Amino acid sequence: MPDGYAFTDLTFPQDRSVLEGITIRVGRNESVALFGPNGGGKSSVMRVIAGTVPRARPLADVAYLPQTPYLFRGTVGSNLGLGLDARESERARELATEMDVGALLNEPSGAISVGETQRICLARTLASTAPLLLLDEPLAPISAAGRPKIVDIIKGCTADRGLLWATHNLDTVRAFADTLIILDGGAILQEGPASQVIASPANEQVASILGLT
Amino acid sequence: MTFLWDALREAVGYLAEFGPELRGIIVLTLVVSTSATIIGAGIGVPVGVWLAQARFRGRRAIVTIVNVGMGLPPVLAGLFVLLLLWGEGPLGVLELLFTPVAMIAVQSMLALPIAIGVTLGAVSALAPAAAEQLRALNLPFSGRFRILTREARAGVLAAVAAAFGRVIAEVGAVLIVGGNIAGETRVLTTAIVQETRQARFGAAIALGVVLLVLSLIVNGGLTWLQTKGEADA
Repeated sequence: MPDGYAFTDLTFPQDRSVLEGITIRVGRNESVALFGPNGGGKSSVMRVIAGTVPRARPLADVAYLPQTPYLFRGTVGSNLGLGLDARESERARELATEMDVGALLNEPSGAISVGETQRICLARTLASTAPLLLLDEPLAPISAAGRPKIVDIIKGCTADRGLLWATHNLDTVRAFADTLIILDGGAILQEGPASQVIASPANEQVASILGLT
Repeated sequence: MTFLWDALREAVGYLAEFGPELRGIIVLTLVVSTSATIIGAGIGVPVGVWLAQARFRGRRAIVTIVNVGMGLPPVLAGLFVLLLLWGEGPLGVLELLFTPVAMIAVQSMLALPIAIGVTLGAVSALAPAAAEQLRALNLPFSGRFRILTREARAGVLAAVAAAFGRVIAEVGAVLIVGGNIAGETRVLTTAIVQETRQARFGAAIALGVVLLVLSLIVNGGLTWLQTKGEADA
C-alpha cells in the first residue's frame, strides 16, 4: 500500500451541506477514528471514500463495512465469500471462526442475529487485502462482553494498511485509535492524537461531543 | 337461456373432441407467447436491474419511456411492426409479415417494457441497507445481477408473469401482423375473435376456457417459484 492517503475536499455529491469539503488523512499502520453525533458526517465520509453515494466512484482501493450489516439471500457461507478471491475467502472463514460465527456458515442468512450478521460482514471486510479499511461503527451491534475480542481481531488485521472507522464509543477509541477526528455538521472540529484530543478538547462543543462535560 | 345452454354444450363437445385445429392453435399460442416472454424478459430483466442501480443524466427520461411502454396500445405496436415488415418497408425483404416470427417480434415489444418496469420497481424497493452493502462490495455487473435477481426474486418472477400475461391475452397486435391465418398464425385470442364474429359461441367459449387454463398453469408455476423463493430465504 502507499504510505498513506489524503482525501481532500470531501463533499457529498450535489450537496455541500453534508460535508464541508473536509480533508481526511490515513497513514499506513494508522487507526483513525471518526467521532461525532448522529448526522455529524461520519458515515458520509465513509460512503464518499468508498464511492457508494450516487454518481460516485471509490476514491481508493478499500474494503468497506457499511453502518447497517446486511446479508443477502442464501446461506451465511455464500455471503461470507462475496467479492473475495479464493485466498481471501479462506481467510474470511478463519476470521469467522475466530469471531465465534464459524459454525453458522450453513445456516440461512435470515436465521442469524444482528450481532452475528455484523461479525460475518466484519470477517468478510477484514479478509479483503485492500490497503485501506473503512469500518462504519464496527462494534455497535456487538455485545459489550464480545467487544474486546473483536477489537483484538480488528487490530490483528490492520498491519501494514490503513484503518478509518466511525464510532460513538470513547472506550473503543481509547482501545485502538491512533488519531481521533471530531466531526459535527459535516465539519472537522478537532483532530489529533487520540489521547491528546481526549485530554485537551479544543472547546466546550468538542468536550460535550466526547461526553466529558 | 336455451342459446346459452346450446353454446355451453357445443363448447364441451369442442373441447372433448380436441381436434387437430385446436391442438395447432394451442401449440402456436404457447410457442409465440413463451418465445416473446423469454425474449422480453431475457432483455428486460437485466435492463431493469441495471436501471435500478444506475445513476446518470437522462435516467428519468428512460424510466418515463419504460412506464409509457408498459401501457403501449398493442394495436400501435402492431401497426409499427406491420410498417417495418411491409413489402416496401425497411425490413420487407425478410418476408416475415403474417408469420409467427412477426407475431413473436411484436409481442416481445409489448413484453419488454413490462419486464423492465416491474423489475425496476422490485429492485428499487429493496432495503437501503441491501443496496449500500451491494455497492460496498464493488462487484461487476454479473455479480450484482445474480445477487439482485435473487434478492428481488418474487418481484422478478412477477415481472415475468406480467409479461407473459400481457402477451398471451393480447389480440390486436398479433391480428395485425399475423393476420389470423388458419393453421399458420391463428392463436387462441384471434381464434376467439374469429369464432365470435361468426356467432360460433360454443367454440369461442371453449377457446376461452383453454386460454384461462394455460394462463393458470403458467402463472401457477411462477407463483410456486415465488413462494419457494420465500421459503428458501
